[in-house]
Amino acid sequence: MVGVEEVRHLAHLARIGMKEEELRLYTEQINEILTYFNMLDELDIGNDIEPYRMSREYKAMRDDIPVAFSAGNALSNAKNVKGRFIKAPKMG
Amino acid sequence: MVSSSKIALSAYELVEEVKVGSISVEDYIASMIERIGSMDERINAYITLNDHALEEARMIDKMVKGYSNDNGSYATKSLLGVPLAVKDNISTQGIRTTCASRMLEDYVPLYDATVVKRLKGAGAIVIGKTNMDEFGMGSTTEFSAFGATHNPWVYERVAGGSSGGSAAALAACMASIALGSDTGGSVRCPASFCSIYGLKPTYGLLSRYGLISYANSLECIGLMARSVLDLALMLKVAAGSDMQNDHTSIDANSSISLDLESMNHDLKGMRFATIREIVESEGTDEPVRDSMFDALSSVERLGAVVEEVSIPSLRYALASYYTIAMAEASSNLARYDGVRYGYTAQPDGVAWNEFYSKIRSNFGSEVKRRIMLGTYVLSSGYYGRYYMKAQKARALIRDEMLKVLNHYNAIMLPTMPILPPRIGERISDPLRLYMVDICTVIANLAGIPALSIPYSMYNGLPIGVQFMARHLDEPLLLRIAYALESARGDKVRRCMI
Amino acid sequence: MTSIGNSDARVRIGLEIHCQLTALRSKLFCTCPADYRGKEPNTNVCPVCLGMPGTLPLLNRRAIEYAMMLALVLNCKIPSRITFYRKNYFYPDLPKNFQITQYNAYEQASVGVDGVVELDDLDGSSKTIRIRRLQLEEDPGRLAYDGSIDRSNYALVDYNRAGVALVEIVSEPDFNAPNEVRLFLNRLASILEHLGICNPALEGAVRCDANVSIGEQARVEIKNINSFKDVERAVTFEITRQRSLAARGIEIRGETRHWDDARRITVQARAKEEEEDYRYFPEPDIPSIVISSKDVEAIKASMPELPHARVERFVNVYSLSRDTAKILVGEKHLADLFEASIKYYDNARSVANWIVTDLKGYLERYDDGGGDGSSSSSNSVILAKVTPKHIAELAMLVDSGKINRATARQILQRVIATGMLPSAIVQSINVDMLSNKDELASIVDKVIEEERKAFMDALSNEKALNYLLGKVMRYSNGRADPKLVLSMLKERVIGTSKTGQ
Ligand SMILES: [Zn+2]
Repeated sequence: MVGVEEVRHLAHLARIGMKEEELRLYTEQINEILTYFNMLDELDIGNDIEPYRMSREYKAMRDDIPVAFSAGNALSNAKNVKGRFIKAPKMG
Repeated sequence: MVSSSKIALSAYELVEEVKVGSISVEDYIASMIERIGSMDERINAYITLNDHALEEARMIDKMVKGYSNDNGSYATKSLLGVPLAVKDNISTQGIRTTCASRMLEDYVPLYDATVVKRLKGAGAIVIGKTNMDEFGMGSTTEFSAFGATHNPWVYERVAGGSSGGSAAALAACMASIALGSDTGGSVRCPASFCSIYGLKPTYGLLSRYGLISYANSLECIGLMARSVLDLALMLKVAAGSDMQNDHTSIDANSSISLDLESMNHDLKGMRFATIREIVESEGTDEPVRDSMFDALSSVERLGAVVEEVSIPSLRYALASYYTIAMAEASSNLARYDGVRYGYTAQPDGVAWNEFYSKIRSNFGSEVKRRIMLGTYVLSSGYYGRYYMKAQKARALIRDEMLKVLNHYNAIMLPTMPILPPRIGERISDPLRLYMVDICTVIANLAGIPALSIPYSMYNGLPIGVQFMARHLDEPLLLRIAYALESARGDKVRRCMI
Repeated sequence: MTSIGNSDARVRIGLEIHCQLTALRSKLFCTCPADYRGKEPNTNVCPVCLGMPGTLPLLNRRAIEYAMMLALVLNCKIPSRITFYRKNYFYPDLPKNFQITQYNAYEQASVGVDGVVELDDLDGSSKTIRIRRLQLEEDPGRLAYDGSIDRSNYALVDYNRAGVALVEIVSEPDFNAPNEVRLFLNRLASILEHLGICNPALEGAVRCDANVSIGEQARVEIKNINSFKDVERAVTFEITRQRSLAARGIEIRGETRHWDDARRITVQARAKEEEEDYRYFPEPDIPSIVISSKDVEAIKASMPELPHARVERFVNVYSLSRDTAKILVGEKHLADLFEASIKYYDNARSVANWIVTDLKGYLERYDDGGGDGSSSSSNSVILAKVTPKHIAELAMLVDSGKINRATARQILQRVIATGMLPSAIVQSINVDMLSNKDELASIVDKVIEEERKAFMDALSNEKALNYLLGKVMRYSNGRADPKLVLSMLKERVIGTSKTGQ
């Protein structure tokens, strides 16, 4: 079972601000859904089965050819700018 | 203005008329925009209309009349003048693309998704961007920051989701063809609820470049149309490897042939499997089961053999699917932090964690729920128990599905186990809502193609039937649909006119 | 007590080294040019490296090849399937709020694993440094501030660097002394240069984190060491700090410290770094990459000559001493200059000695003390002006006795200043050796006459002797052979003391 404090920590990890009542509601729902997910526990699959993955030959990867982006202003969607810089909150 | 019967034309019919000059594309697009203006306030299929649609239409008219120097290349464009609705999580250069989220309410992409670029190259005109569950997370198009989409057939019912806007736009003749995206059934579910065709192609057959990620390893752009031929037309244009933009795309052009003219109207020699665990499930509504059995006798009449098989690992399909989808989502959606684009606030003097948390609290409730769960299943100590286990279960399910498809040409299932619910009916119980994806997620887990075919109506509510095939066997799915289209008779109406 | 420089088995040092693959032309996952240096902020970006919605990473194949080369040189195993992972954490310089990197906790996913490097240049002994892994990842953008970081209310982000390819090399804590660290990093710099995949002289191209622990005490991480040269200093400081704490009976805390290169000390990280949960999982947009043994063989075959082989060749083909060969190869540009110069003058040993003693000595005097341990930026400016022809001529002029070594060194300065050929300089200032003993004797006598007091002091004071020597050299316009002058001066000094004058 996941408690409210653990959900608060999850909200912090995901950087999603939440009010107390939201935290309580999510705690309840997350527990219900995790209980459902727990059925994966009964699945006894050891290392004989590879987890699902796509693979590709290394030769299929991109060539090292530079092409500068020129189709528009890369900053056009940024609202907090200063000169050519993008403004962000300060760390710490 | 064009007549209402013309508005309901199939894309391939429309293209023929455009090419011979019997329909002016400008008139056609203008009529469609007018129709949207009068109908969409109720249905809410569109979030944004393309301001340049009429301009693009005029360009095509000029080409056809020979006023532009394109040397007649329009004649080779297979979607010339066709109004295309695009789900609002598929990037369109210069047209805002919101994912039905407050977080992207004014985001304007700098580029077109590869599939959009291809369809536009074939002459299609993006008419607008359609409503959806925020970031594709939902099965009803109720979780939208722009309000729910209503089902054009029964207004108080949901249109299905998450590509509900695209499906409703087609059913209401507010577009001729549409793009959706399908992570766990998001194209097929609304197709079934709105009585249109919805194809989830083989994973990688269509480039994902420009599709705004929700669950990368599961999702693809899906094709939606009112006729099988339109679907084939779209697939021909949209498919193809995109190694310039997408390492998960596959080169399959050579192995897919879509020769519809030579297609038979029968299904002689075909062997289909139904899955016991789903058909017999308590979660399947009676009218849906009846429709399924009816479709079963239809395909048998067309010459196919249908047998029931058991796939025990399907029990884990939803747990596996949601674990993977939520994990990937929690990471994909981390980029929406108010710094480079999208919803934001002044960062001056705000502590960074507070800034992020405040900005990101503007996700809708379902998105937050999935991000939180995804964060949990990836966090240290739980990876092996949830994420790794889910990927192993996924591999198991894929293997069992492919084994069935070794013996049968296709798997036949209902698209949705339920009829379209009333708006608001299911939204408050997340887990119960997840359960209705059981028939669709298995194709995404296995990466195989699946098609929802409109089959019948129950008290005016559309019911679809679904077929899944081997990797890259889209031609077979189209062939089945083509045969059923003529066999189902008057059980369905094609659109609301 | 053990001195810091000596190997002490109780001291354990591990390194995490980041090297940008500066030889790449485009970034790791998009086609933006890899060379971001000196560009206006946010002009070397595209939707992919800005993390715009809907974009997908497109892996640069050459980056894999370069990383594989380095892994092979470090004797790593190359897994048959390599996989990229997402490392999830929020930071404004990270456009997607996750970094695409590699992670080996669930499988052997990185380009290289389990490598070994033999340090055989330790005085008399050798030791093995184990490489835990070598991985490929993307560089984040950079943060700047209006004015000072403390005064500023916000951060300014420049994403030009975001997405540039980095190789991270993680060693086991197998170093027991700072000089071993220096030796290893010098070796690595030479390898990077010889492979031609990273130019360590470029600002920010190599960065290093170190971890240091003593005995059973907690491990301390040192971050922010932005040049190879500073790593030895940082590690030395940290060992001293930990030892002095231990001597006072203070327990050492496991913590993260930063290297302050201005004050040359390690300081406690400003905020206590949060215990992060990175939620690693395989990057779903990049399929696992299958690498066959054939691919590995092809990469091996395409690799240029490596330092070790080059030393052997210099010894065998040019009969250089092993020490000289190692010094040359230790700095690839010197080895290159050597090989180019002997095309003009085939006395290999003479050319080699010229580069190893005279040129290198000159460079060391002009080194600004910063840089990365192989060549500082001012050195590269100097080196750009010295051509193989210059070196060949200088060596030839000295060997033929036309000028002496001291004069040749002076000429080197003029070569650097003017770019002229040494033979032309010799002619223009007429520095042919003043070896006529009579002419020289008259200058020596003149100086002794003028500097009577210094001459008397020179009996007991070497400084005074050198003073006289300097004056003779000045009067002769530097054309005198200092050795000869010195012996003449000494002769006279001794003569004077004998006569008791
Ligand atoms: Zn870029």
